[in-house]
Amino acid sequence: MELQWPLILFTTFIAWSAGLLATQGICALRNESNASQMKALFASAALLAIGGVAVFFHLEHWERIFNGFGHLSSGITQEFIAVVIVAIVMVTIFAYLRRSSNDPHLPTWLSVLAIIAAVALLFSCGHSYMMAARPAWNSIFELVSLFGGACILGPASFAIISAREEMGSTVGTTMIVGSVVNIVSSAAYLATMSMASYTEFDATYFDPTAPAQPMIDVSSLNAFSGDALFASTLVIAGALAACIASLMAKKQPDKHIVWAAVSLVTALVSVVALRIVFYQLGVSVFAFY
Amino acid sequence: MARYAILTDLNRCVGCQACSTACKTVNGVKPGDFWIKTLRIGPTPTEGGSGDWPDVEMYFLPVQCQHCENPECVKVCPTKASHITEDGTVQIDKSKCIGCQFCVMACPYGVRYLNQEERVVEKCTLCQQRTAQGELPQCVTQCGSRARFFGDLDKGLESFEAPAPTHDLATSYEDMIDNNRTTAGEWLEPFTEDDVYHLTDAGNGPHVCYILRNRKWQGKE
Repeated sequence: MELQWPLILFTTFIAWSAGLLATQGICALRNESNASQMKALFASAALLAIGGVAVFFHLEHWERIFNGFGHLSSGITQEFIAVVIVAIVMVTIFAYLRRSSNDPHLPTWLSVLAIIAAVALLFSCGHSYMMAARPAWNSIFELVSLFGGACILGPASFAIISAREEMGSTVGTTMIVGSVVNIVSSAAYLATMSMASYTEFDATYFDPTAPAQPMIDVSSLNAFSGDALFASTLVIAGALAACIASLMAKKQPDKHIVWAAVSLVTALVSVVALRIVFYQLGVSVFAFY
Repeated sequence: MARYAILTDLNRCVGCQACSTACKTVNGVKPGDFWIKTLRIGPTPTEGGSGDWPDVEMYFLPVQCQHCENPECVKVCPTKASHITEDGTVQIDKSKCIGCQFCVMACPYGVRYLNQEERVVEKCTLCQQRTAQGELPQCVTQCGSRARFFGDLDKGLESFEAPAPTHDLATSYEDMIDNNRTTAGEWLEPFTEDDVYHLTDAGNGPHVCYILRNRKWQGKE
């Protein structure tokens, strides 16, 4: 199907925001980079807000938004609930950081809650696209790939935010682990999408009003051929570059901000490119219309 | 509660597309958009044949909203604009639709689309404005080969109705369209349960039925 840019940006920014919030929680649990907690919180909230604004551009009648959000089986309603929960957790973190401004730190329960809320947000966003109608989307790897993106975007952002401090071992390690998770999950999802897409008719079928044109371009159902090839290449190249930059950030602590920035930019390219392939291969099992 | 649906005898359908054009005319469907689209499936080699012409077969398949039992489009709609009505059909309340198009993505049959003018999603309504008055859907009324029938699944496929063609020139248009009906049981060649097919069920339970005899159904059950 055609690229849905507002949704591509929404999922990317949500993954970014959730990744940063979860990284905050992890660092707080390890009692590291406490001075950067407030800045990271503002950044995470801003990313969440940008994602929220982006998704509004997808709605044709956003002025009717209050018609709904009461239908719990809807993925959009579930996403909305998850966003509200994350916002509440962010406000709570803000209150705690303000209260302990001389020695900013988060209690363990709140750090764990931040991680759980971030995972719940990623789960709701990924799960709402898992539809039987679109085999390329209907995979657990779709959800895992969003999680993978968050795993590198969050730590890389936190490393930049905490640049004035010495990079804690937790952030560095999380960046490396996160970038590896992103490579594996992205590659697994690209392969899954390529294997999943098919049409429900064994025979050739035509629209008699355009009998010379095939209704579906079979080459478009593979991530490693046709239109999707370029974006798939960016997914892998971006994910690999983010991993290398993460390793370099650990290896060269004096230049860790530069390498973290490289890691963040290349990971962003990888995550956005994966969402592009997601739409390019998101063909309905009945490509009739 | 009824379960209204359409039955199409694919052995009778000649792919004239009268259903598509009749639907467009009566429902104001814009050029390029379809509430019902007639596809040509095949030709495919006949089983046990030489693999070449003339050992080939094909059929036409009119595809529209399947008015499912457990429609995915209804599940994913955040505003309940897509809903199941008392007559068992799936309808869209345009005043509630926010145009998020998740129903378009979730429909396995791809029969929904965004109306660019009204910026809401549209699809086949099974001519609810007509059936509520006891009339037949326009695609059934104007089927060129009397292949399409409309009825309630709870009453059995044999009870599905269509206008009965008449050659009596004295018959008024009203009588021809509304007062002179036949049923699938009376009009069609005999069929068994094995001859009745549905588009692939992804757990949504499509209501629209297709009859195909003596040829291979190319869809996956």
